[in-house]
Amino acid sequence: MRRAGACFLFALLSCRGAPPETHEPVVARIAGATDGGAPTVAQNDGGAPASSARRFQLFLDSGACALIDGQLHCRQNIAPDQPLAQEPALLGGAADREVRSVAIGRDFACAVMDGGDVRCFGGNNRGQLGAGVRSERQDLPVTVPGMRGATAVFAGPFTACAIRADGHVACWGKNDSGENGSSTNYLSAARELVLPEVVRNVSDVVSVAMAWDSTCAVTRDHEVHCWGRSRTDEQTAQRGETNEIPMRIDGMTGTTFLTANENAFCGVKGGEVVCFGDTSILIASKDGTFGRRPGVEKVGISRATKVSLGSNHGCALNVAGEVYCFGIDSDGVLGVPGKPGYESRPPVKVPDLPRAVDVICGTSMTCAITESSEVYCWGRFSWTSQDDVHVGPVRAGLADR
Amino acid sequence: MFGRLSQRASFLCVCTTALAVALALPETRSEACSCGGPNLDVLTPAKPEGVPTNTRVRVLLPAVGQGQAFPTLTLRVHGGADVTARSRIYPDVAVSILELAPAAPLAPSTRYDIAVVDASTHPSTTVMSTFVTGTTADVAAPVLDALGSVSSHKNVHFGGGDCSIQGPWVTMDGVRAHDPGRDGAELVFAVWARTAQGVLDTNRPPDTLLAPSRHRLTIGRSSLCDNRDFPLQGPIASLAIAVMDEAGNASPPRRFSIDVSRSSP
Repeated sequence: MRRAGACFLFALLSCRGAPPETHEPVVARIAGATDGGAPTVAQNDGGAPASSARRFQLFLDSGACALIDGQLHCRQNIAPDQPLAQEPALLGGAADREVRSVAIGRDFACAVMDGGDVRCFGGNNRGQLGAGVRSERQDLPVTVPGMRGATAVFAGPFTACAIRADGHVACWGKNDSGENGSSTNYLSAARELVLPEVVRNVSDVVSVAMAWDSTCAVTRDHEVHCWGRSRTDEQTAQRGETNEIPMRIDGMTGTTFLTANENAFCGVKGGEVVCFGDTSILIASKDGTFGRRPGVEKVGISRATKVSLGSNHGCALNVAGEVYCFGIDSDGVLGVPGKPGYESRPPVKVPDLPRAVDVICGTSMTCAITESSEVYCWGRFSWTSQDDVHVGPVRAGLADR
Repeated sequence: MFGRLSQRASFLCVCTTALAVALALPETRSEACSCGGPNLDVLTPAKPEGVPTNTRVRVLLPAVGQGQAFPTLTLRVHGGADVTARSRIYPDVAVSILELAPAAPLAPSTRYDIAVVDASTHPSTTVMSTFVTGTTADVAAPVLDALGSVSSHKNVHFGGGDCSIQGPWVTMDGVRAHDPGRDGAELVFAVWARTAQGVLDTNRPPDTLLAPSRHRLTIGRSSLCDNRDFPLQGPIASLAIAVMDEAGNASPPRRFSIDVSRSSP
């Protein structure tokens, strides 16, 4: 079981210098940051018909962020009854610029601004700011060179990628296993040399998902190309355990949506939720084994439109607006009563949830955004209180003004 | 002084029962010992700017198996050509020191990159560090001010979850040195041991280079998690030590002997 530290990206401003609480190298998984999905359109809160629709995209981990009308708002402690819009805008607010796309890594964030330029701020130990910065940390956003016209940005724990205007992907930051697509890995003492490099052999990219040490891109024709640490036996056989050169994952061709957690990738292919990599936490093993599975597996959810992953669980949205969750039932993250344990559970439908249009998994909680722009969450809302666990969906005011 | 970058590379290893068994430790007492993996470190130069033009490059690399070659350590002009240099390897248990001594002075006020290149791996190039030279060479030898308190250590009881081993090893607490030619010189300690023929010859290259931690120098392996080792032939170990700056200038060696058959009182 892995659990992200309580101090994740919010180290950005309010948690500066505080070490992660965990000793494990755990990705601060921000659902949506790696999902690459289009921002969810939400309406004004309060149940009244909205005269002007709001753009609302939620990011969860041990804290919460929201991209609201082009402004990024974050809070370190999840407080479902406190609207995120009340928090100060972290990017673009003062300059009256909008954030088009945002990605949040373990201790840094990057955003595509409305001019198509990419700006990053936060931790820079492995050059994850991508701007040739020597300092280990940079709280004022820096511009990543050579990225004008970028359309979207994505983040792993210490690596980031952006889709350029020409459909190519450029990446920067940690590259221990080739996850940023370059044949050169810069250690922390050389971080000032880190600049974006275009990933070879993959183009027409529409989305990117990043695990701890591997990266996958979805192309316009729905192929999935991956690089970094091998996540399937086919990759290992052809490329070895690590390789910076992208390789197509044949079993994923037809994918329309892709996301990742630390060690696994899940996507939607022909309406089915499919996963590959170290899926043993997410999908019940037939033989009780842990670790990497040989190839692509079905989760058992059909008619899906999106899937989101936490560290130990996942949830998917289907065309009917229903949410199904799977994986390890810890702290009620699956949204249903049950017997928590270390066995992966097959998909279960989250009850008592109005028709949803989006689902976002965090480390310990899951949220869904409904058709009527309401946010419902379940799981552990707070790390400081043992009692703040909600097994079923409860309405949260995160999206409220 | 004593600058040392702590750069953890991606490779990790765990000292498990297998390693303990290989070291002939009691298996039942070694099950809980686990260690972090060896670090990939740059010993010198550790400063990003103002590096002497006659600097040597010294890095700690994970040791390779018998018959395997070390990856290529390269010093190159940033974005340019490799620097011609003489290389030396100081082998050790889990990490070894690779030293590059450029054949000619480096260009002043120029950025250089220190990289390890291994064509058999992906990614093939690991840039460990980068630095900019100053305008002058360093020709002044550093001075070894004090060896501090020298002690030998040997565990009567060893093995088990604390990763302890029998030893022996030697510590020097309060070791102090300075470089009169340059403030902030990055100093390491060269160590010689008596050869199998019983000769302590400091005219040959040192047997190893060590960096102190908080003015404590450890000679020999102090636990299963210690990546460095040094043969201490007893019962009386005869050693010589000199302080050396990043340019290779060294103090006169200082010799001493210590009983390593038991722990110092």
